[in-house]
Amino acid sequence: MKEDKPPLLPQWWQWYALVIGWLLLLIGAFYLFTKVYS
Amino acid sequence: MSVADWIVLGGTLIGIILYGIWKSRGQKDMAGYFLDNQSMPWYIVLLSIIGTQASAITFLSAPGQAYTDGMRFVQYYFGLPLAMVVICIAFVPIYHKLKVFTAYEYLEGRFDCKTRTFTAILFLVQRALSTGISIYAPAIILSSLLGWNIYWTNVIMGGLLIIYTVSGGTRAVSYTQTLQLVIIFVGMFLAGWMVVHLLPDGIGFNDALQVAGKMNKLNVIVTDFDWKDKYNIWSGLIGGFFLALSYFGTDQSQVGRYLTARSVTESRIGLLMNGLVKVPMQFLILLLGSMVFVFYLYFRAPVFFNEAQLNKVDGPTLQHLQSEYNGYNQIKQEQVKALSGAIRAKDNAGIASAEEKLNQAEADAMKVRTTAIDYIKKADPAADTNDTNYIFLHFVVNNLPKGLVGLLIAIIFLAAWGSIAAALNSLASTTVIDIYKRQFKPTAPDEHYFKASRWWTFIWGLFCIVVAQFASKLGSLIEAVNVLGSLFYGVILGIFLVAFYCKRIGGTAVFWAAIVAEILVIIVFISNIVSFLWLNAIGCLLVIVLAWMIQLLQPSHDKVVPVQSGCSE
Repeated sequence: MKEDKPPLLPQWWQWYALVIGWLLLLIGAFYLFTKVYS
Repeated sequence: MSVADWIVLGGTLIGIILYGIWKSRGQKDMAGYFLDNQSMPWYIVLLSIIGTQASAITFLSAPGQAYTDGMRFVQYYFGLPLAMVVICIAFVPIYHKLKVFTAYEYLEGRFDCKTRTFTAILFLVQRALSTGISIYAPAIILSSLLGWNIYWTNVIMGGLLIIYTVSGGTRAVSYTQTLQLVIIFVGMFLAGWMVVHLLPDGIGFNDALQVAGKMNKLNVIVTDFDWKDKYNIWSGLIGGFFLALSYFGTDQSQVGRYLTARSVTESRIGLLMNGLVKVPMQFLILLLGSMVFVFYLYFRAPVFFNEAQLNKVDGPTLQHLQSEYNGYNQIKQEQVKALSGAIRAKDNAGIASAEEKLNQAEADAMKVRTTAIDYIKKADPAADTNDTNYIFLHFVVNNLPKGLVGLLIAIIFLAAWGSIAAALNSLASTTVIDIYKRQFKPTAPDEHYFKASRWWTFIWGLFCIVVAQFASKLGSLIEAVNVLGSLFYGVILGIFLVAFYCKRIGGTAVFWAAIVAEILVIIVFISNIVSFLWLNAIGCLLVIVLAWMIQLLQPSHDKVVPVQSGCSE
């Protein structure tokens, strides 16, 4: 079971940053969604 | 249900069973039965992870939750993407390197046999009870709404999937989950499209959003901190993180999914993609619930969505309640039209006026509803007075066209089967690998364990159906499963975190720390000091702190040198 490089992005930490960044983006979008529609 | 609905329902379920049996071919040994010889690509791992977590309760209870409490339940999932990252960094490489069948195997190599066995037993108790609820939850709803016998519905809900789970093991589980999820997504999309389509002429999706927002049903983010508040951004990020870390990192029903991946990379990508898609997916399911709420503002909502319970109230009283409730429904219908008209005209005074009248009518209608619930309780003190789980299916059965009703009911079965099948597979693997093989029969040939694995899958399937027959009065069932998980997950996670990061702490210390922590978590839960999501963090931290303290008190010769391999025989 060898550990390869990740697909699409050069390093694993970039994948991790993508997931955390996406979460922050979603939270920001949901915050705006809540404010706009309430 | 119409003939068309029965054909769609029967055809879908039989199709899945046949597909599962077809995928069961060629199973000969334990590595194939529990790990599919580590051959799965990342997208099957991803769909299998989602299919294991998303039970029927997810698709029934979540829209009802949005209907009654708004969309803030989505915050519960905010900790999940963070947990995916930690699991990819810390858990996945160790499990793959040690070539374990179960997560608990690792604990004997790191600590000792008693810690491994204790953790495996905690998992078995929690997972078996949760799976029983996962069978009962959709069964009771279907039986109430469609008049089916609850015992037979339980048997079909938890029984038919045993056919392909016993014969095909993890391969059949993963591939059927993939097909099931495709059908589920198509069905839920059609339901979402239909609820907007069924709104009155001239009322579109954006109008529905505006109305839902004014009625506080689009409250996705709640920033106020409150220990007892179940769903705010803080409990979601912190409590949800610990819960997701424990569930995906140490619960064999999930670990067993990504252990089937053909490499560390495929496991990681499957988990990380889950971190990307899970929150938006839950958002959309909850949004569907908010749209159902708007639908019932325009069209008459029942006093109580579980009509089987409502019919226990005597005739004249029920008629009076319904007449009063319909009066408020009439006001709601008028005011919601006035509200959407004022929003379109950007008439702020009109918006404020209609909003106030609509909220007042809603509050008055709720009072009638509360009275109805009191009458139900009087008529039958043992009655289930929480109808959250009935809301979405009530909408489906009474408003969707023929054929689509059958498909949506099939989806409830498929969602249940996906999570139950993975649970049975994990219960069997933990029983055979961590208990039977380790404690009772360590030197039998592989063929013996393969047969035992099939038998234990069957036995656990029967046991979970029996649990389902006794489950009742659990309130919102999605919460019941999460509360049950939170009682055990924190402690299990604490054991694993000590194993990974506290190399000086040995087996005896962590074993006693885990027992004391579990007792304390149950005391905190019974005392109702904090919301259940915090139990995950409390249990985890208690194990770490107590294990560290006990280790300090122990004589130095009892300190354990960490072992770097698993404990396969």
